Amino acid sequence: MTARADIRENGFDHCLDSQTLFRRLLQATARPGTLVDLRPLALTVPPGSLRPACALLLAVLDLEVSLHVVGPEAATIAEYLCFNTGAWNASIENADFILVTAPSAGDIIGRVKRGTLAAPHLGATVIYTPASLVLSADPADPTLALQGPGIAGEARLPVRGMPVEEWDRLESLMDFPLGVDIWLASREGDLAVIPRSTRFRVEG
Amino acid sequence: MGYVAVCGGENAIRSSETLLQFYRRRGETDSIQVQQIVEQMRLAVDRVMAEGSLYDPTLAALAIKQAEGDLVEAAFLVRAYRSTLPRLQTTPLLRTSGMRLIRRISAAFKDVPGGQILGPTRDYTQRLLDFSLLDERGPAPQPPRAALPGDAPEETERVSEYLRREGLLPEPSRDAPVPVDITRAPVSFPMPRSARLQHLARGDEGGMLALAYSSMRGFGNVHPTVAELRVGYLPVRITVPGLPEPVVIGEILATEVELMARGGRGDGDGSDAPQFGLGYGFALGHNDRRAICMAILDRSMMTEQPSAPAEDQEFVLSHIEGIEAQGFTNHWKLPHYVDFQSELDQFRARRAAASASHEEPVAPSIAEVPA
Amino acid sequence: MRYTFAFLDEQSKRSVRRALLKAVAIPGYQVPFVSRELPISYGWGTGGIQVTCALLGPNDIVKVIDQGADDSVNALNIKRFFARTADVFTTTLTREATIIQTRHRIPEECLTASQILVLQVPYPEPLRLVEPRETETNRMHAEGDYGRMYVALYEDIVRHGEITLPWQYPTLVNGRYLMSPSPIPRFDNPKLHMAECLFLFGAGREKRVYAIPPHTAVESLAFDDYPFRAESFHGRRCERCGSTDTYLDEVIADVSGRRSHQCSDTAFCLQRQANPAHPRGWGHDLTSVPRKEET
Repeated sequence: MTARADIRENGFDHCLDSQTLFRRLLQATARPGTLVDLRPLALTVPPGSLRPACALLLAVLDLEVSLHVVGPEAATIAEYLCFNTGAWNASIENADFILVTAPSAGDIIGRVKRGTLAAPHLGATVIYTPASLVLSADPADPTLALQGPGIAGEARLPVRGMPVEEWDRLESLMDFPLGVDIWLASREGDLAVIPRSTRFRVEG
Repeated sequence: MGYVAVCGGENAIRSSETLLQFYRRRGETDSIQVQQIVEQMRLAVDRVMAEGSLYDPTLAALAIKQAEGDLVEAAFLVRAYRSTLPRLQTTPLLRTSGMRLIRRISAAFKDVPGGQILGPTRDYTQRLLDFSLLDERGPAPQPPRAALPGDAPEETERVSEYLRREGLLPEPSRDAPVPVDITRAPVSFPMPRSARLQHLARGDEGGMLALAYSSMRGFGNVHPTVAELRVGYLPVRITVPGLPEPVVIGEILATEVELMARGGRGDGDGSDAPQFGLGYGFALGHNDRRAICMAILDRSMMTEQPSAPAEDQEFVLSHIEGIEAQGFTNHWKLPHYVDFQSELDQFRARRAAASASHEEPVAPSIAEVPA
Repeated sequence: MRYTFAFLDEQSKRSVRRALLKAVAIPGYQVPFVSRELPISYGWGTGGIQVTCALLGPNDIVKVIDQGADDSVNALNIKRFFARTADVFTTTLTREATIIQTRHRIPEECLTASQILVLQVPYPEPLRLVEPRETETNRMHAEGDYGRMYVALYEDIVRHGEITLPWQYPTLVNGRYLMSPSPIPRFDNPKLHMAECLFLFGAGREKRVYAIPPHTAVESLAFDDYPFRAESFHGRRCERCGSTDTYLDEVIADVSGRRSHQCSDTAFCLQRQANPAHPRGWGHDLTSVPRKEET
């Protein structure tokens, strides 16, 4: 096996960085809609805007799980992530983790694994890379209203850079306990998680 | 009162460890060398390798020494160590027909091509204590010339192959599913055969013996015949990137049993003519008893309508796992006084209620009635 | 021989971590995982240990308790394991800990949003009370079909006038999954409901993890006319700190058979000895409904 210096990631400590990022994922999953800062991120290979998403995936992928990437540079990113973790590339129907590098995946998101009643945990994890999760001055930017386990009352999460239609598609995947778990790794470096236990609707 | 004393717990553990060290080495004799255990207690070493699920005679012997001969504890030590080892590769399939035999018998036929080779077995010895071993002196005996493994042929075809050619055993299915690895993926019931076999291969021998025996004695429907039992050295090959052929890195001693049984499901032949079914047993090291039990349980768990414990895969596979069983058995020694206090609360209330109304003895509560 | 940080190899930790993330996403559902053998026996907290090892970082402060006590021999053994393999600070002060691993009790002192409670579980399957077969209990969870459990509880009431499960009292989580809270006393069940902290449950031998996020509905099974009732310590107090609102261990004080009582939560007892008004703080009414005979 050749060294592949071009895609070998030297800015990621598989022991300590994995642990730090896992704790942030756990925090974000336990408190849906809460913003967790992923920085600083020292990855050397991916472009800055995709570093947060790639760091999360480097932390959780290994040779026991599969990945599918949708969007610009999908093949390159998939190769980078699989090479550095041992995960294998799969079709969108079979993948455990789906990374969407475009603002939306479109209708194909309907084909992801949602789990079964006997094994709901097999539902996939879908990672999006929105532009920002921080409230902007523009009232037209969509905000998600969230309710459910982990949320006291209701939480509000602005999401910039994902079309409203994509949220409709995601909502149609959810039928608790079936569904997918959504990680929003913004290009600015924040993380918010919407697990399938969360009820969401788009406002604004 | 040192059990849960405010500062006594730490000291209690240390004192206990010191005592253990004393008990392990008390007496006037020299420390047992690990190599002595490897050479002169090979069957204990083989059992610990099988249940520890790790082929390394020296480590197994070390575990036996550390555990003062408690083989269940030794297997646990080996399993825990195994957890720390990285998985480098899955080897290509090992062909047991290429086993360098030291023992090979068939109960199905009086004689078989390749011959019946007794090998090193106690089967036909008389179980009389040999008091000369109390004071054994002198050098180890030389290996008898005629029985050197090197004289055996390269490949000895298995008896089951003859039976297959005659149609008495079904051909194995060509598109069998890829084996699962029970140490890598969680497997739930009903388990595929590859998972059942792995559980059996590392199962507690005592548990497997009891269940297999129950099956033979009538709590089940398996009427077995040992088509073949073979013991010998299997070459282990690995693939190396850049080399065209897999490379032999060493040998393991192993025991294999193929057992035929009437009735039950075959292996997918689908024909109407009556056939035998095959039960398969495999053990690291030399262990006839273990491999036979495994083959019997493999067969009995294939029963269409389980009606006895040995036929019920959930019962068999959940309870032959020795490392889990010994841990949970021992855990009853842990403090349970908070739970007990909670039960006392209930119990006293029910007794008070019963005596207040002068009733018959209290009926069992939901927590006492077995499901 | 060098071991990796927190003993488990990276692959094992990732496998547990992925299972935990799914568990938090599906509150109360038992996620299967591949349990590794540890140098500590199955049955002695390996599930909890694997969860804690997957969580642990160099900045964590770990507390380990057994039956509520920091100095219980097994809790000490587990704490030593973490200190040795992860080089983390350990503590007995509940407030100071970032991760608390516990067997059979939830601390008296309320846990905060920055704390994680890891519970050791021997029997993750609450339906084992009515059904020994895993294939059938899986079906019951898949279909949300818990009728047989309710029938069993009802029959208990018919026989005894009340539900007589002492500990490990089943709960319904998020209105969907029946869950075993581990062998905590009924007294501790209400703490799981709408809490601030995250609860993670690890069963090593049975190979399951499950979770309750904060702010999640956790309802102990009962009927409208037979509400859930915790243990009563009516008329008893801790002889060390005087508390009447904590879970008390009963101790045989002397050869005459005289009984005395002490707080099971030893760290909390020390706090109360210093300050009798030290609050428990769990955000809802934890007082048990006294039995008829006691009023």
